[in-house]
Amino acid sequence: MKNTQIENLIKQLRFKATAQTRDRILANILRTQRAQKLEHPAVTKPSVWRIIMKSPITKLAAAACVIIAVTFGLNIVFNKSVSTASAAEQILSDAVKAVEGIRSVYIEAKMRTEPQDNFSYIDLKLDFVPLKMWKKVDDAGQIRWRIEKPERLAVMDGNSTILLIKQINGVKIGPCPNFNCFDCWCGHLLNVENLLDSELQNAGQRSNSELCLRRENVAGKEKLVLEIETRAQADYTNDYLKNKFISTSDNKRVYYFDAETKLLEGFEIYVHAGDEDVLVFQTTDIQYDPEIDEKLFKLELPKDVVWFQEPKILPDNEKYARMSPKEVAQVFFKACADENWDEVLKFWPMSTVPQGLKRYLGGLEIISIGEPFQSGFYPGWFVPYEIKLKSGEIKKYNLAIRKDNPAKRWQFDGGI
Amino acid sequence: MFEDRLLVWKFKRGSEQAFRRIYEKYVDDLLTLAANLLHDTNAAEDVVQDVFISFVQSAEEFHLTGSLKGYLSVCVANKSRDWLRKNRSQVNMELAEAQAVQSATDGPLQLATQSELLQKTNAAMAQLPYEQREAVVLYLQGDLKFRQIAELQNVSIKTVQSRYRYGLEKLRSILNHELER
Repeated sequence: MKNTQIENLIKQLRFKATAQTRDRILANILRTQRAQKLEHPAVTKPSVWRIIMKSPITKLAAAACVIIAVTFGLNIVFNKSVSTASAAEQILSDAVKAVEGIRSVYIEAKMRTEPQDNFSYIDLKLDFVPLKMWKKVDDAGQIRWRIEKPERLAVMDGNSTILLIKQINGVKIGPCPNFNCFDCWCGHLLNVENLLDSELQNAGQRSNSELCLRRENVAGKEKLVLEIETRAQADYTNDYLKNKFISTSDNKRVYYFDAETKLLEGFEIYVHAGDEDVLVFQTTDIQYDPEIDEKLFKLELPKDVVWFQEPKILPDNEKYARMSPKEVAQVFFKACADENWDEVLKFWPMSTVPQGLKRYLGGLEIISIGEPFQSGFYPGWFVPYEIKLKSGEIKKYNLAIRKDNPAKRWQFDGGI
Repeated sequence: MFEDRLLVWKFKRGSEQAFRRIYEKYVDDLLTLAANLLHDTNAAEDVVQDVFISFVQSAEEFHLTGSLKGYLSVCVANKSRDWLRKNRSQVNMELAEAQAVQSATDGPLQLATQSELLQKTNAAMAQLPYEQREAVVLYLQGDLKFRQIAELQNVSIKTVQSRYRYGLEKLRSILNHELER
């Protein structure tokens, strides 16, 4: 017999108390606890107002909350015995509990983004694009979900995730659940319990200036409104990526909970941009435990789809791996100009170059290629470019490329 | 882990519900620890009850710095030692009869899985010197690190690792011998 087997045996050496034993021990403990309470009544806890008014920062935050409350005719609901962070923890904890038994959820929302871009991308200048999301957990605990916006659709059927980009008929298939989408903002939101739980985990660490809690009466229904200030992640010495994703923005998240059921009923995100706060995301409908048609979790793919794929190692792989980001942009656009699609494919992460892209980029004229730069957490590079398309349109933007793939070769990742 | 922090926070503010949840969550783990340390199911019940009572009594001063299970496991180990010190004469008799005690099915605690091999393992555990048994039980069942066990036993980490290794060796020798019979 090996030591590992013995270790396993010991781990299995578990004792279980009978129900009567458990109840008896618990009863004895509670009796002691109650006796102690009678003997030593709880020490009076300091009022939250006393805590808040002790610090100039928290005083300011409290004042801000009061102004909001007065402006909008709201009632502040600070429980007088707890701090804002503790009250926020309590509300989030109740909200997590409220959704624990939920088997399905449907969310409609709107987001300032491109209809075809990924589910995390935001653009403060763009108009709202509608989003729809479904999630269902079956009796065996298997999760399925679907997220769609006008030009992009992702479906997880319990085994794998399929992403369809309608404009180019591009399809990407991958394992579930961490696939390009479920860990994006929409997926995060759809996973209501985890969303609230992650806020809950952070709530205790936040200062009172980052949290604001109020009670609001909307159409005769009491709501608890929790506002959480969140800072952009990563270093933005170059701020190109700042405000292009929720996670790369300084924002305020506003959660609306039903005061009675504690269920999350609404969610908004305001990005702080200069002097103004721009609403970039807003739920318009959240339904818990709705009937969801199973067909939604099966994706019928259109004909002639083009598959996304990992780049394979080429015979002359080293040549492409060694290129600088600027060289990549030059070679890529030159190949588009020459309509040399075999060469374009070496940078394009799909089985073939989509026809739509050939029509769009074929015969272009390079005006200039700028100096590459990096920003935020993005693992690749951005290369500024200016091109003249065959249609006569001048396009000036940044090509996103990265080489964190098995072939270690530069691949197109966005910016066209 | 975060759930524990939240439960402790509520418990410190007098929530009986939070305490019940902590109790339900850990009582079997702690009874398992105590039963394996003491090889006396009645004593295990007393020890665990004392641990929870002390926990309740010190609620106001209590600050959770690591894992709650780790904290409670250390409390069980300390109370078990206290119990052994007070009942030393009785213990020798108990240990000699460990197998009989553990196989009794009408006691307050029962082995969760009644397999013959586990019963033999259980009886073999009773034959380990206490310090070795404590190292093995706290490491494998209390999820404590060798560092934490060393602090508890007031010895170096190397000593705890040796006790653990010798404990496993002895168990292996006893069990191999048992299986050959």
